[in-house]
Amino acid sequence: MSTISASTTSTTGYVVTSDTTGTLVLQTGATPTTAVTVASNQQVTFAQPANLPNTFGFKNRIINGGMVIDQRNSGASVTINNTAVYTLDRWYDRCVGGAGSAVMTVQRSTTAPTGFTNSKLTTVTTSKSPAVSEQFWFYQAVEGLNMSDFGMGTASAVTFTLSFWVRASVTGTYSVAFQNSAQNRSYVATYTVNAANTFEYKTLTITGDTTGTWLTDNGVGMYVFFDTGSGSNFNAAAGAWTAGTYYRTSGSVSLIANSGATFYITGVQLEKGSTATSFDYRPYGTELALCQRYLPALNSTSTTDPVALAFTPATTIVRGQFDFKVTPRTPPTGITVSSASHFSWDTGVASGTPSAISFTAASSQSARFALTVTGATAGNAAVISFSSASGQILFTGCEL
Amino acid sequence: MNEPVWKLIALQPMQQIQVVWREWPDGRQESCLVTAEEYLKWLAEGNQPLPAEEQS
Repeated sequence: MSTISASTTSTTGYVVTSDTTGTLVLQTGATPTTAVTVASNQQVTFAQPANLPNTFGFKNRIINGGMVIDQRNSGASVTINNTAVYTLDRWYDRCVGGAGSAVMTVQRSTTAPTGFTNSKLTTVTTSKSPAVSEQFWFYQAVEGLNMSDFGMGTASAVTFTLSFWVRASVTGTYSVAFQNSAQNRSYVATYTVNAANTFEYKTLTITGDTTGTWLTDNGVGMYVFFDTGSGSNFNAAAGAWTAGTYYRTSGSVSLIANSGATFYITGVQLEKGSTATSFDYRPYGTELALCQRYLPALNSTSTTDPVALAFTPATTIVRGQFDFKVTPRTPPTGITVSSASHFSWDTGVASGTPSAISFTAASSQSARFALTVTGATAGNAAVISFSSASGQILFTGCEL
Repeated sequence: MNEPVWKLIALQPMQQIQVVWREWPDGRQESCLVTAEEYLKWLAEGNQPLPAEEQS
């Protein structure tokens, strides 16, 4: 085997021995000891545990960066008219410019670059030249617990890199902004869409902020904003951390000002280091579980899907308990159901359709909710099921 | 669609915090604790909930 040994005595710093086996060995130490062997078939063997940059495991701190999970809307278009709403899992979109005067739709799309199945599509349906104080953007808030190793707000703050695929109908310079939970520290970075309606890969490398307060608990560790046309009050120069709330540079494209404009994005990845690595394709079940930390949810797939075990504390109430499959970030504070008519209850001796469903209470393990019914007998056990394939129950209040 | 008004629900024995409920024209029903952020934001806009119904 051919050997390269780091030398503590040779003036060249290394010693090379060679043969014709096709195997290469790297050695280090005062007494040269094999660290890495590269066999003739290219198999690599490490003598000690590898200490590598975080290029695998949970390297991507963005959840649902591939835009695959959409528990709320299952790909249906959401109209955002003078409000801000959660759309695809973990993504929050704001379009507040006066009722009817600035409207966009957001949905999960199947238009995607090679290697991806989905993207997040924003379409401007009613354009508006934004007022100075208006905000148009979408963000993902990374939980502090998931990026405490970034060292933000300390002298050890790391350099990090954001990468993504974007396809927009309007070419030009766009802005991304990074902010702390209090939104009093901002870093604006820009990227350029060179060709209309063509997926392009973008990377942005940011030096971590050494000042400011950055949470490392279950609050917002960092906001990652994609500006879609905020007003000039939120303009800042690109490329530096600044005190205040800024989303864009003055020269950035205002997507909301372009009627019919489309903006697709996918493959969003936030990772430590100054190099954008390949997208972290996590198993679907893993990605869904990561999302359910922020949105426990049930979507029916048939007209008989079980929902929860229950009991009847009164003739007019069926109370169910749902145990979370994933521990939520914080206990839910409410529920949203598609329609009470999408649910049914059954005690074995009585059954029916509730007229209303309301939240009762929740912990980080379970949630209870009440069905308003008629004809129940107090003191019975019961089951609650979906009675519609369109049934949905969302446990709210866990998102960032 | 116009935002429906929240309605208070009478406190149940196993509840420590009161809940509000509302229904949208499309049948969607929302309910949350009176301490939930979305409800507090609605109150801050000057809105008032409907009172809870008497329990039978």
